[in-house]
Formats: sequence, C-alpha cells, structure tokens
Amino acid sequence: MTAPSPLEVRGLTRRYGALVAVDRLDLEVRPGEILGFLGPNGAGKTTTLRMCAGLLQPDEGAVAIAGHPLAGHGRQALARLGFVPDRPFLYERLSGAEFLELVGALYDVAPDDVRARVTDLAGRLEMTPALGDPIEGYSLGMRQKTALMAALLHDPVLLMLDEPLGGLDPHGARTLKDLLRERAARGLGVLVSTHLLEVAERLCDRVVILQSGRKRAEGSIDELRHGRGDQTLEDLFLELTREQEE
Amino acid sequence: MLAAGVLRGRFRLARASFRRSASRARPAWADLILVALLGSAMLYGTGVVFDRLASRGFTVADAGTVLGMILVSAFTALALFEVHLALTTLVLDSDLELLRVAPLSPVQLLAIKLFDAAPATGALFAVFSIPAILSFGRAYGLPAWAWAATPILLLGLWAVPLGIGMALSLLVLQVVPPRIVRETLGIISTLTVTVVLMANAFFMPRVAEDARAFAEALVVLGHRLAGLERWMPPLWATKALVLASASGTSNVVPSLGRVALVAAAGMASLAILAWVARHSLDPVMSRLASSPTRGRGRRDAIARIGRSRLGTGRSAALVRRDLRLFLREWPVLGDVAFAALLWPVAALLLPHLEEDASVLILQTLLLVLSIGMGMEIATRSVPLERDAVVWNRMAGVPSVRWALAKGTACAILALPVVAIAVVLLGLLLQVSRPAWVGAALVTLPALALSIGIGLWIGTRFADRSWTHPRGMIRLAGRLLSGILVLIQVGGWLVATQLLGTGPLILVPIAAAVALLVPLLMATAQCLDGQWEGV
Repeated sequence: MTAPSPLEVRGLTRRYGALVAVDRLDLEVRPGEILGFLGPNGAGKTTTLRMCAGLLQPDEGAVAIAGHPLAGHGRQALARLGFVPDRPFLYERLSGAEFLELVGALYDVAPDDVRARVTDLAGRLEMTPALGDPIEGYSLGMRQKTALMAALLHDPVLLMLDEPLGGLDPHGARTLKDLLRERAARGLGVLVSTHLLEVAERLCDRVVILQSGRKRAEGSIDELRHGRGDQTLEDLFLELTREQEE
Repeated sequence: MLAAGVLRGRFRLARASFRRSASRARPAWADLILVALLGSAMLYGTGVVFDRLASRGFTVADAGTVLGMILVSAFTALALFEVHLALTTLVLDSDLELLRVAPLSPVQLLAIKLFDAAPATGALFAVFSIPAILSFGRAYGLPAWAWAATPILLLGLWAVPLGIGMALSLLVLQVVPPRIVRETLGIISTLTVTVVLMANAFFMPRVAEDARAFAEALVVLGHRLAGLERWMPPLWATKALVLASASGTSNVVPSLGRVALVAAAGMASLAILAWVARHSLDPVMSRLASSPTRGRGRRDAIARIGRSRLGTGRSAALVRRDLRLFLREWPVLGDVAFAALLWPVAALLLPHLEEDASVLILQTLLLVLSIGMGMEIATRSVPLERDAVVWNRMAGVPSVRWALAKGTACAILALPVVAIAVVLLGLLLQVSRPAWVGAALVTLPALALSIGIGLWIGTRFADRSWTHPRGMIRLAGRLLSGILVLIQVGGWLVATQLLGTGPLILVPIAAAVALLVPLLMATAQCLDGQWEGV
C-alpha cells in the first residue's frame, strides 16, 4: 500500500467579496518531494497556504494532509503539518526556549524529545545562545528560525513555508535548504512559497505557478522548459505570467 | 515644502480616522463621544462645587483656591499622561522608519509626531481643565476679555508639561531602555489620571456638601498652594482668572500679565524641547531601532524545557504560558490590578451605607472586587497573546481546552488577591464567622462566572494590535464589560439577600457554575471565527 500524499488539495476556492483570490485550485505534494509554489504578488499563494494550515476557511474545495481531511477541526491533519507563515507569529515576552517548549506541548511531543530536537535544530541554525532571551529582542531572521524550529518540533509529514528566506542570512538560508532536502530524502513533503526563482530552480523537484488564483503551470523545471529552448525559470515565469496578463 | 507635504498627509490620515476601518480599533468619533462623556462628568462635578461655593457666600479668592487645586492636579496628571502618549506615538508608530529615512530634521520629525499625538493629549486636557474653568466662570463671572484670553491660557498650560516632560524623557531615554520608560509612565499616568478624575468628578462634590469642613479644608489648601504659586503655571493661570473675575479696571493688566506669563512658559517649554530634540532625538531613535543585546539569557534554557512544576501536558503548558505573559507584561498586570481595585473604591464613594451593615459591606466589596478582577484579567488575557494565538489553531488545540486553560490561569492570578481581601475585610469589619464563610462562598462562583464572561468579551472585542494596556479591548467591549460587572454584582447581591446564607444560596452558585459551560463554548466559538483576521 502506498503512503498517502503529504498534501492533496482539490477544487480549493476562496473569495473576498467579488474578488476570487483562489479559484478551483488542485495541488499535490508527493512523498519525498519539494514543491515550489510560485506566483506574482497577489496571486493567492499566501491565501492558499493559510487555507491548507486551517487558518482560513475555503469557500469550496477540500484539503487533506497525509490522507486526513482538514475540514472541521481536522486535528489529525493539523498534527501532521508544520507551517512557517510569512509573518512569524511568536509570543514576544517568552524566551525562544519557552516558546518552543510551549509548541512542543501543544503538539504533544514528549519533553525529552523537545529538548533533543531543539538542541539539534538550534545548533544547526546557530540559535543556541539566544534561546534564553526574550523573543522581543530577536531580529527578523532569528524570528524566522524560531518559527521554523517550532514547525519542525513534531517532525511533521508536510512542512509548508511561506517566503521562508526573506530575513535569513546566507548561512541560515543554506541550513534551511539542507533541512528541506533532508526531509524530502526521508520521504516527507515540503511546500515552499517563494519569490526567489533561483532558489526554486535549485531546490524544488516540481513547481506550480499561480496567477490570479489559478494554476498557470505545473511540473518539473525540465517539463516546463520543454519546447521553449534554454530558458531560465525566470524567463519561463515572466513569459507564462505575461501570456496570462495579455 | 517637505514638512508641508507631510502635514497634508497627516490631515488626510486624521480625516480618514473618522471612518470605520479594519485596521483601526474604533473610529475617531467614538473617541470624541468618550471625551464628551468624561468632560460632562467633570463639568457636572466642578459645576456642583463652584455653585455651592457661590451660593454659600465663599469669596472668589476661596473659589480660586479650589480652581487652583483642580488645575494643579490636572496639570500634574497631564504632565505624565501627555508625555506618555507623545512618547508612545514617538516610539511605536508604524511610520517611524519611513519618517526617519525622509530628509527631515529631528525638530521637524518631533513636530510631526507631536501633531499626531495632539488630538489625544489635547482631548485629555480638554476633559480636565476646560470644565473647571467654565464652571468657575459661570459661578463667579468672567468678563469678555478674560474669556477671550482663556484659549491662550489653555494652550500655555497644555504646552508646558508636554515640552518639559518630553525633553526630560528624551534625556532619560538615552540611558534607560525605552520600554521601561514608556511602561513606567503608562502605569503612573493611569493611576494619576484616574485618581484626579474620580477626586474632581465624584469626591469633591461630596466634600463640598459640608460647608464648615470645606471652609477649613480651603484654609489649609490655600496655605499649601501659596507656597507653590511662584513655580506652578496653573497657579498663574488661576490668579489671572481670579483677578479677572474680581473685575475692576486695575485688575486687567495684572491678569493679562499672568496670561502672557503662562503663554511665555509654554513657548519656552517647547523651545527647550526643540533644543533637546536637536541634540538627542537621533541617538534615541537609533537606540530604539537597534535590537537589545542577545545571548544574555539563561545559558541552560534548553535544559530547562519540560522541567516546570506545573506539569508538561497541553493544558499545563497553556496555563504556564498565560501566567508568564501576564507576569512579564507588568504594565498590563498593574493596569488590571488598578482597574479592579477601582471598582470597590467606586462602590465606597457612591452609596451611604449604614454603619451596622458590615455584612452587606463585606459582601458588596468582595463581590465587586472579585468580579471586577475576574473580568479585567480575563478580558485582557485574550489580546495578551496577540497574533501568536494562531499557534493554538495550527497545533489543533481544541478551543474549549484553550478557554478552560485560560480561565484556570486567570483564576490562579485572581485568587490570591481575592483571598487576601476575604481575610482582611473580614477582620476589619468584624463580621461573624458564618457570615464571613457565606460571603467567601459566594465570591468564588462569582469570580468563576466573571472570568467566563470576561473571556467571552475578550475573544469578541480584543484588539490584538494594542500598544497600551487600556487599548487591549475595543471601546464597545469596555463599555459592555463595565455594564456586565454592575449587573453581576447586582444579581449576586439580590440573590444573597433573597436567599440568605442557608442551603438555598447553593442555587445561584450551582446556576453560576452551570452557566460557565455555555460561556466557555461561546468563547471557543468566537475564537474559532478569528483566525481569518490574523
């Protein structure tokens, strides 16, 4: 029996009044895959990710994480998901360690396991010396690293990241990419929403290009390039999104 | 040119603030209504005082002593409140970075921020000083030229504490961390403004009822204020108004001279602020923009994970989180404690209770304190989480469990205060042991129910982008919360009076506990509907 896909989205739709932010979107993150989620500003990427994390209710469609539906409270689904939002939502007055302890408890991770994972992740992300400090003193990059550690504490089947590289220094960005590749190698799923096309090109197994809430293209970089010569992903992205605008 | 452009933008923003917006907790007209209500309370209180003084034959000099006291107290309160508001605007506004990189001089930047803070600082000033001067002028009469000079007096009195206070704050900010300065000012200003408002609007009219006692108090007060007259601009303003009221052409020049003195003091104060800003604003702003030093926290932070005495489960973690947040947000905790303690003080000011009604007094005070405390803590416990509240949803924590854990944390914080009040008030009022136990027995379910109601209000009316403890709940929520405190206290008092201390008292207690369940469910439902706003 094959393992269910870490993420399966069918006919996802979200409207804000007359604006259709996400329009009948189908999406799948396969086991062991890093899927890049690309699109211009306002394409509906963040809305999609938030619906997949249960923070927004879709008007239509369904989301399943590792085969568990997200509809209703979707606790089984949420327990298998790690989400790093575009803005890290952190408790400013807690220290990094206290925050991670809280998140570990919320995900029912045993304290010994939390300690072990925090030790490992904080070491790799160079966060160990800062974990005793209040989060309010953290820089944007440190906040993103803290949110990433929190999302990984329960070793989720699916990790979703919304613009994760924005505030990270080169070392942090490299560590993050290594972490994502390791997860994919273990058969887990990763969905990365990013504006950085070179990152998507180097990191992702497949990409989905979204525009005006609709899927514009999907496939591996090679598949998308097929019949278009030696185009870079940037050229491809601009061409695809320009075609749509026209 | 640039400053004019920025000012035009500020005017547009001010105009837009009157419209409803998702990013603003309440439109500006709601603030105006609140200012009008508080101003009316002050106008009523000071009107009663000056009318009584005039009808009982007190001289204009006596009335001037009272006016002087009101203006001095308002001046002191405003010195703190204005500075706190202006400082909050200067330190926390979202457009600060944008303005800092614009080619504006420190003085221009400060002027823009003072312009932003002016409606709030001016409104509070209007609430305190204008009603007192209006009431004095109505009771003792002021000539037209004095009324015409009054706006100059008011502007001077507004500018003096703002200029000196902000200048001192900028100097302090170079040494002390901004958060500590802002939060300390927040607590002190809340305390001072509330005490001044209550004293002038509620306490003074009652003191003025007894003419003899009031006359004696005036003599003492007059001596005290005389010593301060040389140093206090509000006393210069008072003297100007007293001289004007005494009429006679010989008083015009000395009176206007004092008006000019107040105006000069205001201008000098702003000039000092401009000088300090030119030298200190940039370093202070740079300090605000830089992050605090890192790596000073506990070295064994990771090793301490999961070592809490409260346990390691989900609910324990939620309770521990709330306790940590409350105990570290000490301005919020201070504001909660102060607001909760004000309820019993207000209860003491209003009714004339009989001296032998010690059981009723004990019961009333305990109910008011526990319900006020429960509501204040619970309503604020929700916005205290800010947007990080979404972790509860992302981790799939059932909302009812979240509400229960939050209620437990609120009870842990409120119970020690209520327990101390039960013991102290019982001893002070010397009530019998059965009455004492009965009062305590009713207090606990009243506290639990108030926490449940407070949580519901918190989830329904929280402003998660709050920058000040008083702004954590939207105005409608605060008004509703106040009304519900009164209804609960009234309900419990009626129930205890009707049912006595026998077994029948268990009926409302059981009902209160039963009501908690639907309340927590309603709270959970409100929370579930909030994720979209994050």
